[in-house]
This record gives sequence, structure tokens and C-alpha cells, in this order.
Amino acid sequence: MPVRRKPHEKHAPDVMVFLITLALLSLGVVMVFSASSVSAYEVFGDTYYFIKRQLAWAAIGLVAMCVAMEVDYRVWKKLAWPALLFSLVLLVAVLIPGVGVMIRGSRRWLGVGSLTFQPSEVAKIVMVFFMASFLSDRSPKMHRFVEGLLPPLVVLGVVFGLIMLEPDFGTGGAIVGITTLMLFAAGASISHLAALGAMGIPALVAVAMAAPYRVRRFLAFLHPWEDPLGSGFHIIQSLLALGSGGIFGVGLGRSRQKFLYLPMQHTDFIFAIIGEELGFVGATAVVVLYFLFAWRGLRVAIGAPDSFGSLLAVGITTMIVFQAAINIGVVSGTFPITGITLPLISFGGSSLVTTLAAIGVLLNISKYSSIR
Amino acid sequence: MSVYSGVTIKKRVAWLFIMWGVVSLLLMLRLSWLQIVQGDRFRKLALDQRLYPVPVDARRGTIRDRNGRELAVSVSADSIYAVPVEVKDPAGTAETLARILEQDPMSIRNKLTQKAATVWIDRKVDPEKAAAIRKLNLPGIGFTERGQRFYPKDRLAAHILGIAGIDNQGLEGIEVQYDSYLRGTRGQIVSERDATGKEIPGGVSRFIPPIDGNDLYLTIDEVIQYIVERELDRGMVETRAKRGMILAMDPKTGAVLAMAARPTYNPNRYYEYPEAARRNIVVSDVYEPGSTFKIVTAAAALEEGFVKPSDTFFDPGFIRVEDRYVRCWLAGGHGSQTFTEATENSCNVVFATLGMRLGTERFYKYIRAFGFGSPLGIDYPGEAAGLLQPEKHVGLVEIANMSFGQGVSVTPVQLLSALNAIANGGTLMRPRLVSKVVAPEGSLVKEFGPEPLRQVISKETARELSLILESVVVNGSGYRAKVPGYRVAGKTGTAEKPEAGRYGEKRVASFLGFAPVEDPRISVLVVWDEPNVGISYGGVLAAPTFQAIVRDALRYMEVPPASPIEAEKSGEGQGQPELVAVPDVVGQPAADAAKALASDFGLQTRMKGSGSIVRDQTPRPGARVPRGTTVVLYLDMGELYNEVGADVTVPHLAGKTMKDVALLLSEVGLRLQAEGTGIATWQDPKPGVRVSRGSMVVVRFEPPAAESPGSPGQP
Repeated sequence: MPVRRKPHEKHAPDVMVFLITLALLSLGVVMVFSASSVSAYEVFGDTYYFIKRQLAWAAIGLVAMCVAMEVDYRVWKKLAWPALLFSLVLLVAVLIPGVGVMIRGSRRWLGVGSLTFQPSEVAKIVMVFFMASFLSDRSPKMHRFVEGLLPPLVVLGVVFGLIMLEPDFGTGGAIVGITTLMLFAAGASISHLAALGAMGIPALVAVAMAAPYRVRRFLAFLHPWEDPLGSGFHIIQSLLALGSGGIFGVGLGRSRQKFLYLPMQHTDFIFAIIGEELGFVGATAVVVLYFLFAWRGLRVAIGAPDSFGSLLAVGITTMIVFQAAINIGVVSGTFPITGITLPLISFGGSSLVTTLAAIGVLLNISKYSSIR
Repeated sequence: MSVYSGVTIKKRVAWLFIMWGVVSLLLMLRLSWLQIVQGDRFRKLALDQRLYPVPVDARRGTIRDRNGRELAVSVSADSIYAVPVEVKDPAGTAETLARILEQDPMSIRNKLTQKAATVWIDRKVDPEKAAAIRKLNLPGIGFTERGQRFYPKDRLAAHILGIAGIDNQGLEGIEVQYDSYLRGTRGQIVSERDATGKEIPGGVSRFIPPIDGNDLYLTIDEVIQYIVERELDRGMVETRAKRGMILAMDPKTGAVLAMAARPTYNPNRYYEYPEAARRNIVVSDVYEPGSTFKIVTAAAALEEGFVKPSDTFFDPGFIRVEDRYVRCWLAGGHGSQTFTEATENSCNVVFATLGMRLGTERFYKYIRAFGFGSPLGIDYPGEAAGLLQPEKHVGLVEIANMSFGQGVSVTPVQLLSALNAIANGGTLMRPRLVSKVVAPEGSLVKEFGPEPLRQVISKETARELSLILESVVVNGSGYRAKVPGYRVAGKTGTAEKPEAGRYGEKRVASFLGFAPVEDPRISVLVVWDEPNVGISYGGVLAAPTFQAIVRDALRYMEVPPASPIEAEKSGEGQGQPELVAVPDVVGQPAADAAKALASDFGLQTRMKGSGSIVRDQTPRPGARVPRGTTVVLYLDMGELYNEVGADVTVPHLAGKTMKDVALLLSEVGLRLQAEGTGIATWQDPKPGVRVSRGSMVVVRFEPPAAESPGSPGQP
């Protein structure tokens, strides 16, 4: 039985959360280097192109984490509404032609030159903070529909709708998933959630009818060998990488699939390279690390001194573990391709800094935990 | 403010924790399925997609003559390919390649931008060009060595050999007939490559060596082939024939010793020649043989006992067959003659009589038994069957005509094979061109021996007919075929060419025969199609060619003469004459060569042709001949061997139709400026003048004054 402390007493943060984070981050840095070396040389003529950048972002992220760890998490509650409004402005701005940058049929990016970011990514982290605040205020009424569940659903609907206009199914879906889990944690009625889920089915069917090709692409993961050079290509290459790894892997740095067979080796599909080079043992270790992170993060939630702290810890933990599960599901051919990266491991600067900063907030909450 | 308890939240968070446990477990199960259970399958699939096989051509087998002399060989040449995804700068690369290879930059650029793993840029490139490109080290451009077919003797035996294509596949002739032996088996270099086709450093690499093709030994003798081609070229000039064919065989075994046709081509540059020049008409074309076919009529009549050599016939110059008259070629007829004499005279009336005595059924039995009307099975693609009129439509008139070779179509191979059966004692032998297949390391793969098809006539009949045919050469129309010192048998032929169902002015002059009669070693058929020198008798145009070939061939084969030859008579002493090896004097000044032959070897010389340099000699260098033998030195042959010379000789055009004139001029590379219509009566430049290729020849045509009456069948 955990030792009960006095509420509000400040103490050292959860070291386990910190260590698991460091472990995932280090593994990520090593694997980004291994996975990207061939394509980096092929595209940029520099084997170290990606690793140099990843190291720089990791350093910035660690600084951000340390700063966030020192800021009392209750500050964020006051910023919840302004942040949501700011995020909505960005989501609207990105849709305006000329402001948002269109790449491959999606208007997802804002910014100038090489300095771009995705407002949907901002929305993702903002929604975690906003929902933690919004839900903690109405936590006692969450089991009711109109007073409890409906208002956060409206906010979610607006945000999701704006993101779908870009469109960005991956991030939109992730926000819905994370928010749903937070609603569940906040005490929403399970029958309400189930009914909403049931209502979603006709909507999905309607989408399927409207654009059957999109559905085919979406469901390609179920039968990749029917179109091995088209919609099934990514999945097949990913499965070949994982399978080539066997139990113990081909050895660090010795992946063959990274020789331009596997697309997005250092971002969306980096887990396939981990599976190829480190084998079942290495891949399982990564799954276990995320599970341990879930354990420690949710433990912080249970020990948090107030409902905002609890729900914020749930949101941050869920954001990381949920994305990891989806990403591993995609790479192992268990889930449709979504474009969601593996948190803390995949290459990607802004996402890495955001994630580390969020973990800093989680660590700050852990300082007030009542369980030790 | 109450102390936060959050019981609901804590319960729900506990559920979330359990959920993540379940999700993690499911993911690990999935990974174990993919990595442990399915691992080997995926590893193999992944390896398969990384392994790129690059084919390595097998060396195509060499084609040799019966003595192992090379007639077709494979030399290796570089081929250039591109891996389009690897090419860095398609425009620049295409520009560079096009400049060196002398090709169109756009077409190369199209190849470089194709969506394919590899594309051929150019195959079988000159070594210097390949080296120049190799030096540039262009990204995405690679080389493989491929075999290029080379025919070291150029036109020699072109029709026999045929051609092989760029992918080492036989396309024509022996090259295609024996492709499965010659081709060998392709090898591979397998290496591990990335998705763009570049080799992965330290990757797997494997070499499966190719299995080289087998060598082919033909029944052809290069020297006899050479003699035949030389005489064929000479004859084409002397007879001005449209086409010519010569076939030489070993009568006892059915082995082809030489086979040649004109027009011909150079297999090293076959694409520069019209299709007609590549056709081996000796095997795949049929013609009406005329009087040479009388050997079949005679064989049937002798075998069936309808005639004896000494039987007497009377030829009044014609014979009535039903409501028609079959005329002898000699106006007024040959009068009283024995059967032997009738054959010497090539008397149509006597042979028509014999044909009618035999009757359709019996005559056809022999025609078929001798191999006419169906392919003989020579090992060469596209053998023609020949044409026989359907038996049930054949009446007496047709039989009478067929008995002297009209109304029946045969291939040269069929006709000479029939003669072989007469020469060798009655056995029809399958004609064949290949004697054995030998593996690259020298072991025998397959041997093709003589193959008797059937006994057609008895030994006695064969013997009897051989003597009659010898009499044709000794006393009759074939006297120009006499070879001093040897007993020669033969038969002349001058056939009318059927045109649009009628016999017109065009002729086919031919001669076939064998020697020595007592022990035949060689049989030869000479055919001149549409000779154009006024006369067209086979005895005049074809027999001398036969004589020259058989004379040189027998001497080359060192066949002992039956009676002493003139040269020997002048030699002193009896018993075995002293043998000397003929030296090689080709390329020497004629006067020096003659002097050296006389003083150092005791050999006499005879010059042929005009010029001062020896271009060829008979007997060939190394042949052992008695001291005192005459060596024939061939001097400059002019256009005979000057295939691509800038100058051509203006042909004789008078008497030809405009179409024929146009064809003839285009054949030699001259242009026609025609005046008037009808038959050519005047030309400028005159016949025989040497002019440069592409010159204009002015020809005046006039309508013919009156049609001259057609002459009946001739010997």
C-alpha cells in the first residue's frame, strides 16, 4: 500500500518518469541516426543530416522540460481558454489560401520558408490542457449529458471539424481519441460514450460511400499484397523489415530495408527499423517502455492533489502512449496508416520539444503527488 | 474548499491502466507473430526484392567446317545499360552518350527517364567507344559483356550459316536450326541492391557462370565451298544469270560439301541486304529441272525393264500424244539411236515415249521414291517440298512432259540427292549439313552419321544408268564437263521457265553429275537461272562450271586419277611420281610466283584473269601434288570479288524490257534514264564500261518489230 502524504506537500518529482523519458529519447536518437543515414546521404549528401538536427532538438526539448518542471502546473489552468482561442485562430488561418501552405492536397502548414508548423499539432497539445481544465470544472456533472458531456463535445467538434477541413485525418483522429479517453477518465457515462460511438458508425459509412477510394487506401493494411506496389507498399516494406529482424535482429546499423525500400524510415516507420535491427527483443522492449510510462504517468494522475492535475496527467500520459500504440499498430500492419509518429523516438523537432515540455508539466504534477 | 477526493477519476484512471496493459500485450503478441513465426518468410521476401540478377550471356558455339576451320565465331563486345533512377542528370548524360555513340540525344534521354529497373542504351558497342564511356564513370550507366557474332570469312557459306541476332539467338540458316546446341545457357550475377538499383555496400553477391554453347562441325569443306563460290561468282559474270546456285555433295553419305547461291550477302552486315539475297534458294526454292530430270525417267524405265541401254529408238522430231505433238528440241529429230545415244542427245521424244510406257502410277512411284514432292529432311530451316501435279489429274500429255522435266518442280537438294542415289548404287541418302556437335571442352555431344532413307533402284540399274550418264559426258551434250584423268558422269539441262502458265523466253541452264564414276566422291549441281548471253544451253553454260569445280575438288581431296593426267605424262619416269607440297603464292607478283613454282617445286603454272598479283591459286597451298602438275593462278578478278567497290561495270541491256533493265541497273547500283517504250535497243555508256556507282545510264526503248515464234523444249 502506497504511503499517503499530506496533500499539497511539494517534494521531488517522479524519477521513473524522467528515466523512462530519457531511455526512449536516447533510443530515438540512436535509431534516427541508423535509420536515416542512407536516405540522408542520398538526399542531402550528408549521412549526419538528420541526426545533427535531432540532437539539437533533443537538447532544446530537455531544456523546455526542465523549465516546465519548475512551473506550478496550476498556472496552465488560467491559460486554458486563451490557448484554445489562439489555437482556433491558427486552425482557421491555415485554411485561408495564401496563408496556409498546401502540400500534397492538404493545407496543413503555417509559416514562412523552412520555418513551418502544423496548427493541428498545436491544437493537439492545447486540447489536452484545455480539456483538463474544462473537465475538472464540471467533473461532478460529467455523468449527465447536457450539462456534463455536451459542452466539451461541442469544443471537440469545432476543433475536429476545422482539422478535417485541411484535411488531417491522423491528427484529427488522435485528438478525438485522446479527448475521449480524458472524457472517460473525467467520469463521463459509459453508456453515453457508447451511444456516441454507435452514432459515429453511420457517419463513417457515409464517408465511405462518398469516397470509396479513400476507404480502400484506409483499409489497405488488411490486405497489403493485393496492391504490393500501390496502397500496400508501405505496409509490406514495414512487415518485411520487422520480419527480417527475427528474434534478435540483424544488428544495430545493419538494416537492409532502410536502403530506400522502407519509406519514412526515420519518422513514421522508425519502429520497423527498430524491429529489424534489434529484433523482437528490441521491439518488445520499446512496447514495455511505453507501458511503464503509462504506469508512472497514470500513477501521477491518481496521486495528483486536484482534479485538474489528475486530468492533465491523464491527458499528457494518454497523448504519448496513445500515439505510440497507434504508431506501432500501423507499423505492424494492425492499424490503418494515419501519419502519426512515434513520440520521443521519431525524427521531428517541434513534436519532440512539445512532448518533452509536456512531460516537464507531468513531472511538476508529480511533485505534488500524494503517493510515493 | 473541500479536499479533492476524485474517487471517480481514480477508478477510471485504474481502468485506463488496465486498458494500456491489454493494448501492450496485444502489440507484443502481434510482434511475436510477425517477427518469430513469420520472420523467415518475410526475410526471404525482403532478400528477393533486394537481389537483382544481371544476365551474363553464354558464349555462342563456333561453327566450323568438317576440318575444324572456323566459319562463325563469337567475340565479346560491351553492351551499355542504364539504371534510370540512378542517373543524376538525364539531359547531360544523354548528351554525352549520344555524342560518343553517335546517336540521337532525345532517344537516349527517353530511355534514361523510363520507369524501368534497367534499360539497354546500346548493345555491342565498339571497344573504343565503350572505353571512352567507361572512363567518364557516369552515375547510373553500367556495362555488360555480350557475345557478338562474327563471320570471319564474310560471304563464304553465308546461306548455310545464316545469321544470329543481337540476343545470341539464331535467326536464319544453321544458326537457327541448331540454335539449341549453339546457344548455351545464360548465367547471372546476382547482387544485393537498394531500391534505386545501387549495390548495397557489403551486400550479398553471387555469380552463376554461364554454360557456353557447343561447337558445330559442318559437313561443308571450306576449300570446296571456296572453289564453288569462286566458280559461282565467275559464272554469274559469264552467264549474266539472274540467279545462280551450286550444290556439291558426297554421293555416298548425303553430306553437303558446299552450297552456295547468288545473289548473296555478307552475314556480318546482313541488314544492308534485301531479304531476297538472304534466302537460301538451294534448299527453299523450287524450279522446273528440265532435261536433268530425265535421270529419274531413265532410272524408272531401266529398273522396270522397259528399256535396255542398247534398245534402238527412232526420233522423227515429234511424237503424237493424244491430240498434241510433243516436239524434240532438235528440228527434224535425232533419227535412229540407242537409248544410250538418246540420253547423250537428251532426246525428248524418246523420253516421252518411255514416260508413257511407264504410265502415271509407276512413274509417280519412282518420282516419289527418289524424294520428290516432299521434303527430304535436310537439317536446314524452310526446306521446300517441291510440286507434283495431283496424280489423278495427270494424263498422257502431262506424263510425256514430266518425263523430260516439264510440269514438275524440284529443289536443287532433291535433284542432286536423286543423282546421288544413282551414283552410290541405288540408296537415297538424307542430305545433311552438320556432322557433329562438340562441347567447348572438346567432348563429343552428338554425331550425325550417314542416314539411308531407302533403296530406290537396284545396284545393277544404278550401275547401268551411271555408265549411260558417263557416256553423256564422254560422247554427248555434257562433253564440256570432262575432267582430265577422271571418269565423270552427268546430265545437262536447259529448261524453259513457265511464266503465267506458259513457257516463255526465259531459261534455266543446269548441269549435274558426279565423279569418279567407279567410286563417286563428289556430286555437283550447277543451276543458272535466266542466263542472258544469247545461248542458254546447260551443256555450254553449266557444264564448264561443273568441270572447274570437280577438277579442283578432286585434286584437293587427293582422289587418285583413273588415267594419267596430261601434266603427269610430261613428268619423267614410271611408278609413283614424286609429290611436292604446293606453296602459298597468293599476294605475290604473278611473274615471281610462276618462276618460284617452276624452279623450286617443278610445278607448271597457268594464269587466269588479267592483272599482276596472284589473288588465288589452285591447288590450294599445302596440297600434295605430283611434280609437273599445273598450278592455276587467278589474277585480279575485278568485280568478281569487289563487292563494295566504287566502280561498277555497265551491263548489257539490249533486248531487255524496261522492267528488266530497271531491275538490272538497280542491282548493280546504276540509275536509269529511259527514252521511249518497248525493248532496249541502245544504251549509253556502252556495256562493259566501268563507271562509278550511282551513275546514270541512258537507255532507248523501241517497240519490238514482230514476235519471234517460240521454240519447243530444248536439252
